[in-house]
Amino acid sequence: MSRAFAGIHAINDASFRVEAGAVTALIGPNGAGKSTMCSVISGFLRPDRGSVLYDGEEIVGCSPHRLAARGLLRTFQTSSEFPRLTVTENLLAGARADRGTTLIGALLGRRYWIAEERANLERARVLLMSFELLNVADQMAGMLSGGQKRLVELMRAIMARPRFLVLDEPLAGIHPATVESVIAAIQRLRSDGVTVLMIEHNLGVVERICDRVIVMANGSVIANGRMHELRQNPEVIDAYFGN
Amino acid sequence: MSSALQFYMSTLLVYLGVSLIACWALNLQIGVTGVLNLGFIVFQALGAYTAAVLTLGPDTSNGGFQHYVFGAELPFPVPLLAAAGVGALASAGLGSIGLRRLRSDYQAMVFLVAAIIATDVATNVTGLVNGAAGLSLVPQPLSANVGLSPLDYQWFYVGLMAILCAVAFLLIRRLTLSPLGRSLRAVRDHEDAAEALGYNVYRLRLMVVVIGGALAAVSGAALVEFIGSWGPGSWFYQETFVYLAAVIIGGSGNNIGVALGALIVPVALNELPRFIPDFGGPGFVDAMRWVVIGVAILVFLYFRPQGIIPEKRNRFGLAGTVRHRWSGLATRARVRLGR
Repeated sequence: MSRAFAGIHAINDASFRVEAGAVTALIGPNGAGKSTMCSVISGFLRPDRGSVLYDGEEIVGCSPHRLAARGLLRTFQTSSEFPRLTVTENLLAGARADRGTTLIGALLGRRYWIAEERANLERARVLLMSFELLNVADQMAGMLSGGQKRLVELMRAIMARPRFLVLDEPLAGIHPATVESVIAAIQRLRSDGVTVLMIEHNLGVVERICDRVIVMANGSVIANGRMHELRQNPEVIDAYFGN
Repeated sequence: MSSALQFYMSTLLVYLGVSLIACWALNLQIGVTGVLNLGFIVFQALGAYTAAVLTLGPDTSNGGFQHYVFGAELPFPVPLLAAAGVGALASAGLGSIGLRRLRSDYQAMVFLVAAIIATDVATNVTGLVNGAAGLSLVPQPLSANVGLSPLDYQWFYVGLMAILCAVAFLLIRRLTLSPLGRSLRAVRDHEDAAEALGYNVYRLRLMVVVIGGALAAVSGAALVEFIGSWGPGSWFYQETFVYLAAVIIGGSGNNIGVALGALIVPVALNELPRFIPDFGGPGFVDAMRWVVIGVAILVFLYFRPQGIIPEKRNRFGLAGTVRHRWSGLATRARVRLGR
């Protein structure tokens, strides 16, 4: 696919496959087109040409909320918590609530949706516990630190029960001690059968948790394989690791 | 209480009721969902006109001195319900144009421009709703049936208004306290993130514009049925800012705060000038009203953007530290989940 902004080719005939059920890293220098790729996959941007196949179906032109309903979720590079919702509410906002989020359901009142809400709340509690954020559960998400906001966003996406999760730099700004819980969460997602595509700059982490690695530079995919293979690839070394 | 004072008080209470419904509706749009509907007053006006023409009878009545469309004489509460329907339809129409492809500040401009156009149309297309002269002699609902003295009728209408307010409050409260209300606040806080989580942002916004439009129309209908007349002068686009000020000052996102705002701005600020001795030339005190409203909005946005009673934080107590907070009137607004 290709996508240009005012003549600059952010993505230039890039093409790759993401294996179902695997964790795939998308790496490359700044300006390589990784985030643009995320936005195209998740429906926020339309490619100028090309296609995106999800489960074998063309999804170019699908709106992000439709894709999300089909299990394709994304997180953002900049923190995108709901600042005036509490942490718990942020998580609940991610969970599906088929009864309580319809107009009729809301008007029918608490008794109609409370069971669903309790179940979601329990999932939120477990998730908060695993990220050791239970102590800020009732705080406004806007008051958290940058790293905590990233975690809230990740947890919110997990609450939505994704099938394919696109993570745009999930570890940026996260404390080294917390990095492990994010890694554990991603590994847990994989063992649950979730496909993960993550943009990541920390190659050590990429090597540890990613099954496949896609390298982009100047809008194109220049390599695709396992991390230890790519370390030998002269094109990758040139574009990414420098001389 | 002397009957003059009773008359005055009951009139004020009806105005308060109208303002409450309007402010809750506007708060649902602006405070909860972040849809900056600067043309809100149009839907109130539309409701008022709808109720008026459906109560007045054909425009040949009363000697045919006013000209309007769809004249009919329908029994109460049909004009009120019809007003709600027309308000909902019109806001759905405007919303589907203005909300679809635009970001929120541009949406605000669409609504504002629509309000200005609407006033011009109502003023200049004289056959529509009697042009600049407006409609008058709208009969009061049930006044012939209940057989009350004018003063007792005033209080009867206050009762009607109270029922309307209670219904509007319960409706909006159910909405805002439900998971749907949380979705609306998520849309307000981060449009893209909400969309990425599967919320149809456009549809949610359209929904609150329609619900708010219907409620605004009901408030207008209730007002015109009480005061009996309605014209372009009652709903210049600036009037939206009176309600907007009420929402901001009272506490955007908090229905109790907004009720306080409705008491302070539309009622108190509109009524106080009556008791201030005239100074600075004719019309000066009245014009200063707008200055005061503008300054109040600015002062609050600078120094207390959350308003007098801020939006309630919903505590779920997952951390096990929840305490029952008895903060003023808003205690019951907390979502209680059994633990």
